[in-house]
Amino acid sequence: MRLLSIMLAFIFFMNTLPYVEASSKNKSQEDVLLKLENLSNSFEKHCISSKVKNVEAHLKSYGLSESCWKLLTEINHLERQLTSLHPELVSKISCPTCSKDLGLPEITLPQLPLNQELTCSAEVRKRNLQQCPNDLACALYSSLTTLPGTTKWIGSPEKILPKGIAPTNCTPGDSCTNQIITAFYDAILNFFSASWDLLKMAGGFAKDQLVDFWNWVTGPEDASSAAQLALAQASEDEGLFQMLKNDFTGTISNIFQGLITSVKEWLKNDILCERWSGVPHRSTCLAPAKGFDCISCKSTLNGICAISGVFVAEILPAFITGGLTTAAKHGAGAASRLLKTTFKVSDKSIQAIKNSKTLKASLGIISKIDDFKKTSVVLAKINQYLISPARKVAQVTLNVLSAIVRNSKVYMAETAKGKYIVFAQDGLKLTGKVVLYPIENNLTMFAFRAGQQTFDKVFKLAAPTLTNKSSVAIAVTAHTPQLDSVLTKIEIAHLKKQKTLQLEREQVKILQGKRSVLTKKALEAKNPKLNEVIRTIYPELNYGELARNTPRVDLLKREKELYMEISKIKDPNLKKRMMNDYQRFIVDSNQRKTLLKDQPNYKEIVDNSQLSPLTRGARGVQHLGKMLLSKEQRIKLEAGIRSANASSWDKKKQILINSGFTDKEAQKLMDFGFVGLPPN
Amino acid sequence: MKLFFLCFLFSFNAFATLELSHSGHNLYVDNSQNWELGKDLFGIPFILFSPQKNSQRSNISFAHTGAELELDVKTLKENASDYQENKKKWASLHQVEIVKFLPYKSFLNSHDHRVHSIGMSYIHRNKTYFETSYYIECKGQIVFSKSLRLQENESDDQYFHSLINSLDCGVL
Repeated sequence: MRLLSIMLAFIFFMNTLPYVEASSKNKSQEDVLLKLENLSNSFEKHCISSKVKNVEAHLKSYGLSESCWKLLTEINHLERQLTSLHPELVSKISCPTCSKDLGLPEITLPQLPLNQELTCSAEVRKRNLQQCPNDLACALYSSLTTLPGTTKWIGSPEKILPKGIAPTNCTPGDSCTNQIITAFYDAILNFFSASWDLLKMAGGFAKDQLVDFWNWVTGPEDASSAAQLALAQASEDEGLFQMLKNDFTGTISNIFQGLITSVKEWLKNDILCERWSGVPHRSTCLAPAKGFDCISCKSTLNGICAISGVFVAEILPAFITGGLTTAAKHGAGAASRLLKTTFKVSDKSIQAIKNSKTLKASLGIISKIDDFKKTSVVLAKINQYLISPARKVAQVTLNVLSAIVRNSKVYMAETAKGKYIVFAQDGLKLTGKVVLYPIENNLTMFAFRAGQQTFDKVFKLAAPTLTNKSSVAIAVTAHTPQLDSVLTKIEIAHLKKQKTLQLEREQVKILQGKRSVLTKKALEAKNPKLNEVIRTIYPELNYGELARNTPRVDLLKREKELYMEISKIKDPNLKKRMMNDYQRFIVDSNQRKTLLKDQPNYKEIVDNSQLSPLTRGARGVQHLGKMLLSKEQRIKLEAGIRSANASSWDKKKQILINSGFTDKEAQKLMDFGFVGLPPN
Repeated sequence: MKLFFLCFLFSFNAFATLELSHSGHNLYVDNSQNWELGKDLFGIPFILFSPQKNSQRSNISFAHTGAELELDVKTLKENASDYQENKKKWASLHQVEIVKFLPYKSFLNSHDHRVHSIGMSYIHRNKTYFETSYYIECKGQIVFSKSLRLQENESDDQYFHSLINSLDCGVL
């Protein structure tokens, strides 16, 4: 009779859930929760992965993009909304002054006495015991068959089921059971291979920027350490070792049964023990919680869902190295063997579990659940959200962010990939050109709350500076500081894909009369790059809009100036590199060829003037496109080139004409240096 | 059925070269002592087990990480404290007492693949273990390996080293 009333109470509890969910307050909370889940998942996916261990270092290195800032502040905003609907969450949500380690955010409510014992007949106890392996195997089967990718590891899920149990006998588990089983599946089978993703994502990094390498491999490191230790332990028993080695997936069901039943024993004999021989949880339990044998293993799973935070974070990892092999061998019968050695969780977690009304309600061991029932579903969902890795990383980021801004100068960075909020110039790893705007107003909590707006609206920005400056830009702006501002403006315009002609004209004006000395300084900088020299000192030689608005003669003059400076470099390696780059960026530039067509570049002229006598003749003839002439004719023309080269400048043209070249051809050979370096 | 191993032994230059094929990647190690091979245990593609000695079998895992990276000796060495901090957290979760950390090392194996190793020794249930992780840069990709042995089975270190030294990867 008593059992019947408990069962009716349970049925009533389950049946009331839809009505509870329909209440407007809970509906409103669920709407907020849904948004929060989406936002925090998006933050975790696009901003900071939950696998990043050191959020502070990450933020200092990469800053936070404007879109991530918006996500974060929207999360903050919605969590505040949630607390206004549910005031008991205030201490758990949105606490930027709290420590960075948020611990386990299990919602704790006042502890209720266990004022109603569960009792049941010996027959029910026996049935529960017998039914347990089948119940758990069914739950495992039902959940695993809904998980994508499980067949990769377990092949045919039917083999999880004990003999005599058909898949059709197993009803699908609820979302909470699925969550527990997903955690189990991930920890036992999937975690090692899945957790390389962070390292794979680092593929584009320069090798000396892999400062977080050891943090990125923590997932597979932890998984393999636990797995290999468990296997080393298992190897003490040859039978068990061979069973694991030869049919690992076949033992999954045993392992799962051992886990759940031993958690049940642990709750009964430790967490909810009513009397101890000495110090609670450190001595012997004299009075285990009553009625546990009346709770089916299915209900136990629901109870574990209520403490899923501790289950995932502490129980499951400890189980792999502490109890897995025993569970694999004994299945549900492992419970009594595992109790003392397996589940040593933190005192904080013990208190959280003890106080969890959700746990007690799920296990059916509290009676005054009327008021609790109304919010239990939403509470469970809030709990699920609070313990989710995505929410945790968003919350840690917010807390870390508010701590950093108190101690660091804050900047808004404008990059090719968008705007970022950054905290230091040193160590910043944003790639490419970055323009930094110091933020003048204090980054207060107001700013966080106003974060749905764009950076420009929230922050008062000071004059920008260019970071990730090249050594050339540093050397040049050190000598001519007034260039800094215009170079920065040009970078901003590039980032915004705006026209730069006016700014480049301004740049050219500042450069007037200074190019030679600036080029010298630039070439003396550490590891100078020619494209940086061009961008900073010879913007016309990018052959863009500025070049199209510059007289040809001036362009040729700039090319010559730059060539002459490079030719003065003393370091032979640097000189060689610069000459090669000059050839690449200037001589071979397609834009130049379009713009200057047949105009010889000074380097070509010098190179041609230095050719050996034999090559000089052949190249000159080739340059004029006279290769199809007869051999005799070509020999005559080549001889004319060699002869002109040996004579004084004023006689060269005539010698060439006498050799058979036209006036125009003779002039071209002279302009291109085939008969020696022109006097000017 | 997407499980996908082809694993076979063949003789090569007097060594037993073991080909480990997984998800389109091939690894080769000289398993001259014929240690037993376990596949997909806890999701780890390959683990070699020594014969039982002092009550346990030593083991060494191999996995192709799929990460295409170049690693920098200086950076890894400078940040080795991250490894230690993470291991301390792992230890507290698994009721393990760390005895000491094995320093970061880097060397070239016999195929000129750069190996980065780091490790620790720890006590778990009154037994002392030595664990070493190896990250091998093999033809532009990172291969992971980890060895574990009891303190008493120090002699297995030589074989671990010979396996790592012989590790090569196939056409990727």
